[in-house]
Amino acid sequence: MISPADPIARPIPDDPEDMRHWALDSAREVLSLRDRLIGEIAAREQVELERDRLRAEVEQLRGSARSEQDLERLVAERIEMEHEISRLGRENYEMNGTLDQITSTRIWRFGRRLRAPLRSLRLWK
Amino acid sequence: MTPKFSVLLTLREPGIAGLRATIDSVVTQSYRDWELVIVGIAMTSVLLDLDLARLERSDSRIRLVRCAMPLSDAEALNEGLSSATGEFVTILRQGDLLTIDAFASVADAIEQNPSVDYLYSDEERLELGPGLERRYTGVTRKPDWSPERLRSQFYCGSLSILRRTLATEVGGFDSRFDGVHDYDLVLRVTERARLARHIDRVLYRVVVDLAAAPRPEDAVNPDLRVEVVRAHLARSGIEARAVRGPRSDTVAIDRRLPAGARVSVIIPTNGSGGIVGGRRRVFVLNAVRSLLDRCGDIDLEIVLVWDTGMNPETISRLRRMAGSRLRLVEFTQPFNFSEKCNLGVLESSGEFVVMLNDDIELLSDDFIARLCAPLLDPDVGMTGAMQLYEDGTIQHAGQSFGEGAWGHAHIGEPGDASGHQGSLLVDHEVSGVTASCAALRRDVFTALGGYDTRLPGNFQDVDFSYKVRHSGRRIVWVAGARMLHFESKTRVPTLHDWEVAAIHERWGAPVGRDPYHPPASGRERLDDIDDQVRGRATVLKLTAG
Repeated sequence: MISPADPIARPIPDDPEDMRHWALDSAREVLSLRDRLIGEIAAREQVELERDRLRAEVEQLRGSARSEQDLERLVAERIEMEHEISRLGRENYEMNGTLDQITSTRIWRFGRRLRAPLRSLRLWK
Repeated sequence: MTPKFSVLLTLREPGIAGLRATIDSVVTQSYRDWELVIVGIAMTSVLLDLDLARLERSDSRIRLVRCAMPLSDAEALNEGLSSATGEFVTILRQGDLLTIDAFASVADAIEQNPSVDYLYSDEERLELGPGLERRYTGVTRKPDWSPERLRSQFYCGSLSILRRTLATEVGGFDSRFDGVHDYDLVLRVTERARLARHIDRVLYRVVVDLAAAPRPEDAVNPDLRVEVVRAHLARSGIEARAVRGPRSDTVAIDRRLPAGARVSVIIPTNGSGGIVGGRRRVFVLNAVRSLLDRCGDIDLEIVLVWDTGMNPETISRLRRMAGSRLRLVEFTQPFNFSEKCNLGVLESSGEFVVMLNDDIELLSDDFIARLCAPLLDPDVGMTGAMQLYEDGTIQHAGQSFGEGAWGHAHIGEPGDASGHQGSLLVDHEVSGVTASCAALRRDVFTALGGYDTRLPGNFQDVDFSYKVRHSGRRIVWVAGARMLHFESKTRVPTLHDWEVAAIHERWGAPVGRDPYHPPASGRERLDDIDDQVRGRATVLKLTAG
C-alpha cells in the first residue's frame, strides 16, 4: 500500500524549491524500490538454489546409507529441511508478488507524473 | 549425441622428437569419438612417412594430409581444417600432450552447455632436459571467460576447442598472422560465439625440449600480436589505439571517450584531513586538485556531496579551484555513504558517473577517460582502478569473491607486480570493484537501484557488484587507471554480522574459487605423466628418432 506520507503519493508542490525536494525524495524512493526488487529476486534465487542443494543431498544419502533405517532417518531429516525451505520460498514468492506490484505501480506513477517537472530540474533525462 | 573432436597436428620438423608421445596422448584418450588429422609440412624422412602410413592403416580415426609444397603453420592447419569432420576442432602441437581425460572433460562441458562455441582449459608446462629429465614449471590456472582480457592477451592458450562450423565460417586460420594464428582465430570465433566456457582442469601439457630450437610460437614478433588486436578492434567497431604492451605477450589498448561525453565525478566528503607525504592536508582539496590535473580534455562535472558542518573555508577553496565544474550538494542526514552517492548521482548531469573517495590522489594522466572508456561496451556495467597505498603497495586491484569470503585481490603486493600470468598488466574482468573508485553509465546505476541505503558503511559495493553481474553485465578492472588511496594499511574495517547477513540473504556465500582470480601457479602431480613423457603407452612404433 502507498501511504499518504509517501513522497510519490503526495501532490506535486507548486513552490519550485519544494518541488525540487519532493522530486529528489521521489527519485531516491524509486532507486530504493528498484534495489529492493532486484534484491528480492536474488534472494528468491538463493532459496531455489538451496532447495536444489538439499535435493542433491537427499540423492547422495540414498547412495551412502548403511542400512534401510539409516536411509529412512536421514531422508526424513532432509525432507523436513526441505519443507522448511519450501515454506520460506512460498513466503518469499508472496512477498515478491506484492513488492513487484507495488514497485511497478510506483515506477509507472513516478514516470507518468514527474517526467516534465523533473526534466526542468535536471533530475530526469 | 556425443560430439566428435578433430585434432589438427602439423608436423613441422622432419624428425620425430616428441611425436610418439603426442600421438599416444590422442590414441589413449578415454573418450573414443575423435579423429586425428596429421598435416605433413616437411615429411622429408622416408622412414617417418612409412611409419605414419602404417599408423593410418592401423586406426581409421587417423588421417594423413600430405602437402607437396612447404606451407606455413596457418596454411597447413587450414588443410587439416578443410578435411576435418568433427563438431569441434583443436590444435595439438608436436611434442605436446593431452591428458587422458581431455576429451571426456570437454564433452561433459559441452553436454552441460549445448550452445557453447568455444572452450579452453588450464594447462601445465614441462621442460625436458637431456635424457628426458623433467623440470616442471607449473600449472597455469586461468580465469573464467574474460573477453576484455583476451583483447590484450591470449590468456586462453591451450587446450582451445572451437566449433568447427564457426571456425570455417570466419575463414579459418589467417596466414598473415602465422605464429599467432591461433590467437587471431580465437578472437574471430569468439566475436560471434554464442557462449564461451572455461574448463577448470589441466587438460593440456606443453612440453618444451630444452635441447631443441625455441618453439616458433615462443619467438613471435610482438608487432604481429598488435596487428591481430588492431584487426579485432576494427571488426568490433572499437575506436582505440593498439600498441606493444608491457610484456611481449600483451598488447596495450588506448581507448578514448567520444568527444562531448560528459562525466560526473561524485565525491562524498566531510572535509576531514590527514597526513599525506609527511604533511597535513585536507583530503578533498588534494583529491579535487589531482582530479583537475589528471582529467585531461573531457567535459567534467564534480559533484561534491558535503556534510552539514563542513569547514566553509574548504568549500570556498574548492569553489576557487574548480569553478563552474563544481556542483555542491549539502547532505543534512546522519552518515550514510550509500545515500550520499545516490544523492550525488541524482544531482549530477553526466552520462557517465564516477564514485570517488575524497582520500585519494590520481596518478595516471587521462585517468577519467581511461576508466570510463570500457563502459562504451553495452555489456560492461562497471569499471574500477588500480589503487595503491601511500607506500606504493596494492590496496585494490579488483575484488575477489571466493572461498566463503569477499576481499581485495593482490592486496599488499608491490605496486609494479605483474600478477598471475601478467593479469595486472592488462584490463580484465573482476568479480567486483570497491566504491572508493567505480565508474558506471548513469542508466546502469539507476536501473540497478543505486547503492543499497540499508548498507550505510560497508558492503554496498559488494552488493552493487553482485547486482551488476546478476544483470548480465561485466565488471572490468582498468590497469592503466592508477591512483593513491590514503587508507591506512592497518585499518581493519568494522564489519557487523547484519551486514554479512544482508549479503548472504541476497547472494549466498561465495562458494568455490573466484572466477576471475585463479590461484597462483602450482604443480600438480598427475600419475600418468611419466608414462606419457616416456611414451610407454606406445601404440606407434616409430623407427627413427
